[in-house]
Amino acid sequence: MLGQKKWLSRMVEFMNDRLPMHKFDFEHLVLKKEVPVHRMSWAYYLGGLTLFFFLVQVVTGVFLLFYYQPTVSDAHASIEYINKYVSEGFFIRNLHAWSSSCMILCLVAHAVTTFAMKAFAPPREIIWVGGVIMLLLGFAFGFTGYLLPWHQIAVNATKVMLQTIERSGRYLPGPLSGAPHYIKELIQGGPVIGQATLSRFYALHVVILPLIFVAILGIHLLSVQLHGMSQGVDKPAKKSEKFFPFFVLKDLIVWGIAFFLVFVLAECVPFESFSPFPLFQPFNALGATPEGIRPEWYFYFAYYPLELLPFWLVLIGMTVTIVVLFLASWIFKNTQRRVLGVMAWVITAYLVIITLFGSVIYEIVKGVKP
Amino acid sequence: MASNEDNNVDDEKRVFLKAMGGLGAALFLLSLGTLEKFFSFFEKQDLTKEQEESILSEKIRRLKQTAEEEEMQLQRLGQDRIYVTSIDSLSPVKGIYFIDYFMRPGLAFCDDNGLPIVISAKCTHLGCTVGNNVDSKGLILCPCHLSRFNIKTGAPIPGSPAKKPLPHLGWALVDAKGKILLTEDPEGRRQGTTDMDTLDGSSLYILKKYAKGAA
Repeated sequence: MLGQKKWLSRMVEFMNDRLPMHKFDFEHLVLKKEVPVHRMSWAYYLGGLTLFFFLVQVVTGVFLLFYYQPTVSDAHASIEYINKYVSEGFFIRNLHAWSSSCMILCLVAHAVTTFAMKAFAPPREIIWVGGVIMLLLGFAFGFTGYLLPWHQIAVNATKVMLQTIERSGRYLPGPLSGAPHYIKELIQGGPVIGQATLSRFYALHVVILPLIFVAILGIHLLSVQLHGMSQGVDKPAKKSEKFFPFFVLKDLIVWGIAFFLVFVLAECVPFESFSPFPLFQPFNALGATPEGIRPEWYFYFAYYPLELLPFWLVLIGMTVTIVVLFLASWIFKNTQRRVLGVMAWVITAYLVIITLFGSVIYEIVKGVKP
Repeated sequence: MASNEDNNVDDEKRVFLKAMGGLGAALFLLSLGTLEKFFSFFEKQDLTKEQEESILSEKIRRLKQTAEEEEMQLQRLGQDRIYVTSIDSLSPVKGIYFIDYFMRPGLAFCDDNGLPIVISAKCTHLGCTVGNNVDSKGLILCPCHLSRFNIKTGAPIPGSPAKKPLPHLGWALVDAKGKILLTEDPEGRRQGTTDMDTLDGSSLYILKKYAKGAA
């Protein structure tokens, strides 16, 4: 009984340190809140920028719901209808697509800089773990949204992704080996990708994932506001600025610039202009998979290694990466920021090189175009 | 000391008000551009007669296509054999796609002896649908990860990402009266006549009794 009480009081103490609700007042959240000014200060804007692109996603996504029809017979036609006949439909859909890419770019950049600045260190574990979950949710948004237009690339790329999940079962021990097949069937909803899959992806993309994302985002933002901005550098910053109004205003200016850029992009550059046209024809079950099937650019970090390296090696690499991401607050608790900075540079270099030059590397190694 | 603090607060207020003014103006300008787009998104579409006809006919075409797919699924639940094509239309260089009992794609070719070769078209690597054009070496290509398969054996050539062969599917040749003339199970065991004169004009079917394995 005594042990139980001790354990409970420790838990309460732990949660009080992580969510210091006594700071939840006007004085702490507005009047006294300061933001350190140093060479990494620009990174403080990345979280807000991610939130901004998420809001653009929500607004444009709700707009698209007015015309999109989630059935295998009508999905592609409704997207065509939005693009061709709805006034500004092309713009809204393009804005949704471009801002999704911007959101994932900011999510990744936010995660890498947070890591480099050691902003995951205790008592910020909840903020970090919440951020990692939102990073994975960001990829899940991309994965589920990709299928909705029901064109060749959408269905075939989803087929490859689901098959990849199933394939991982071969490398798992005993009863676990059946789990990926079960997960695939659960996601697919039927023997092949069809209406059941589309309905599931639709429900996930527009209801379930956003609800989970918003719930975690709420805890993440609350926790950040209670703890304030992390120090970010080894030597305490000599200067600081008030969170309100200065940082908030600068944040809004960054949002304004971001909106201007994504607005121009959505108005001028069709998101699908980087892939060959036949991939956007309606899905045809009676035909070969067209050439050039590839996931979205933000999956290249996993896609090209899967193409070039043994599957088991990539599987181990991905599993270790995800575990380390979740446990970073504890694993790197005593690591110096300088070391974390070097690690962040290596991660950035890998992500940039594999995303921009993955196809070239593939061509050099395999001797054929991917 | 107190007056310094007062001055700082006044400065902060001034900066804040200026910035808010700037932001308000920017927001107003932005609204002019975006709200116009947002409102017009919900306006009734002004379609010409031709556009409306084109949209409706395309919608009907796709609904029919979906209905056909549903019908195929129904057939596969209830029927013991599924029609693929006539033996005369089989080609050794271009396979004919069909849907198997698990709604997966299959391919039918013509062998050197005139009999059908029927294999799954679902790549054993990551599930893409393989191509139906046979090259001079008797190989078909999976466009996703460039695995090449021998159509006779179904086996991938060395170096392909796929390691397992495309499975053979059991089939039957049936005459116009519905009589089964020849069958071949997935292991290649045949029953019936192989006389091409007799088989001429027959139809190729896949058989439910040979369908096995999970989709």
